[in-house]
Amino acid sequence: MTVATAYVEDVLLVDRCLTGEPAATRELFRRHRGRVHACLFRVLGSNRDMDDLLQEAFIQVFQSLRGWRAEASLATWIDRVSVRVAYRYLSQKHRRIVTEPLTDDEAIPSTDAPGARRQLARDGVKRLYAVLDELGAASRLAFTLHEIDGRPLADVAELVGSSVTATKLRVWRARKKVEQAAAADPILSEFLEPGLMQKESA
Amino acid sequence: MKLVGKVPVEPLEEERLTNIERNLVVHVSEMAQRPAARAPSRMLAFAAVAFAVLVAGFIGWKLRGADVVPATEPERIALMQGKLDLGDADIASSPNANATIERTPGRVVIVMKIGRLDLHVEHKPGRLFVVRAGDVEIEDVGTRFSVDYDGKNVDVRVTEGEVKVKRNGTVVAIKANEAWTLELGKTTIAVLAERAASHATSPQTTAQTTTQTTATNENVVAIAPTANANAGSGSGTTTHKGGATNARKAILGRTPQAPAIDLGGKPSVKSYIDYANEPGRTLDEKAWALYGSALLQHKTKHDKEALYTLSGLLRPDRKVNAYKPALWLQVRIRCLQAMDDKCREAASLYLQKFVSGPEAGIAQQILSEISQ
Repeated sequence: MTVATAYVEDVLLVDRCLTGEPAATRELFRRHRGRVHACLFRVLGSNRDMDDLLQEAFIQVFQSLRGWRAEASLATWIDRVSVRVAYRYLSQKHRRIVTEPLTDDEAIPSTDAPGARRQLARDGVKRLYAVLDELGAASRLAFTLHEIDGRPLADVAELVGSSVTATKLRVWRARKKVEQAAAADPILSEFLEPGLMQKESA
Repeated sequence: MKLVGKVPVEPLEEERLTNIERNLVVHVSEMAQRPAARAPSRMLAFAAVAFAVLVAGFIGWKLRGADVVPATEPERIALMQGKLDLGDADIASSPNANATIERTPGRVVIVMKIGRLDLHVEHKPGRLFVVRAGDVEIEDVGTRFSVDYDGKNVDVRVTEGEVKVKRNGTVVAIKANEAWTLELGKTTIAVLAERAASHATSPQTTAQTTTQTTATNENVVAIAPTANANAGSGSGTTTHKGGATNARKAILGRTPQAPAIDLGGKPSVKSYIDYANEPGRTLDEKAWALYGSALLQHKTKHDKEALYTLSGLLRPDRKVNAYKPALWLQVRIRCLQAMDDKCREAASLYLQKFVSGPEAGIAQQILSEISQ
């Protein structure tokens, strides 16, 4: 499917959604739920509010669908809405995610056991998001979208509505924080070490 | 630090996703049934006025007691037939010329009402030399050039040096042997001479040009008598800024609008969408379906929806056959609503893409009407 064809498909689908056609609503949700969920998950980490957030993001999408002026692809536009929902969630302090503290038993797992690396990776993710909980909403968004979701800095800047320079600075500051935390935490340090997951999957 | 792929996304259970989907379907159908919320325009207007008053008050307070430096009163010269020597500029005008010159030490502005001016202007750093003809502004950069203005059309020809032609926020540099007209934009003097010669040999065009002083714009010539006939009928058809006049409505209504594809039976927006969604449809077929949908929405007085549908077709990177009629439909909808900036934008966009045909003539006429 060419870009132009995909674009026309999007326009047609949006037209159908605007008439309130249930099949179109379902189709749009099914087409984009994966990317929206992945985006929210990478920004916020494992979260018990994920269902509500996913629903909230799509409600925002459908409410402002008439405002999609086709200057960007529908997917990019939906990403922007998702990022806004994540930002709003992070900005509300009382609902801020707090990573559960690790118990003594799982503090330093042995790397010799077969499932140990998987456990280490899980703990690494927890510890990483615990550090990210200490960051401001804008820095966290920039860092997670760039470093974890793998989006180029220019795309991240556009998504968060900021300049590339400011985005780069936020990513750099967040990275410094994570590196500082890793220096004092061997599990996080091990998790951040490149190649860990590859070894684990092998 | 390489974290891409290291944070696996935990999948959501199918049941939870189904719940979300169900909630969304209910929410969206309710939303579609609800009338669109009206913008709080009165509140906004009130807030804007209050803000303006505050700003004006603040500026007044800041400027209180400040010495007011009187601006140099510009010298005004009425320019009729003949020659005028301004010291650093020679201006020759045609018998029918009517223009006014406003001159201050740093600025000469010639406002043309009609006629032709031949100018030879010396370049003087720090001095602005501008000729205004309608909404077109010609800024001299040290040169010999002529401006022909018949009240609607502008024809600029440069024989030496360079001028800058400014219109609707765009600036075009015109150098020696180049020309600029409202119809063609930047071109060459040779092309204009060729066109003038071909017009002179065409009896049909010669007959039509009796209503116009410039023969360079056949589209406007073809349309203008109709508009004038309507305007002169005395049935409240006076054209004025801001309102959709009967004359304009009549002209826009008479312009052929490309028909939508025939799907058999009574067309509906849904039938066009279904048609477009049929497997194997080409991009062009889908685009025509979108156009048909927009045309139907316009005919059923759903202009907002029609403009929305058109926005899907009118991207600059679109290369579909329905692009031209879609662009014109946008002009038609916008300009029937009001002769405002949106109408002007739509007409300008059309003229940028298509310079010939009756639609281009009307678009040009609309732009002239707005600029008056």
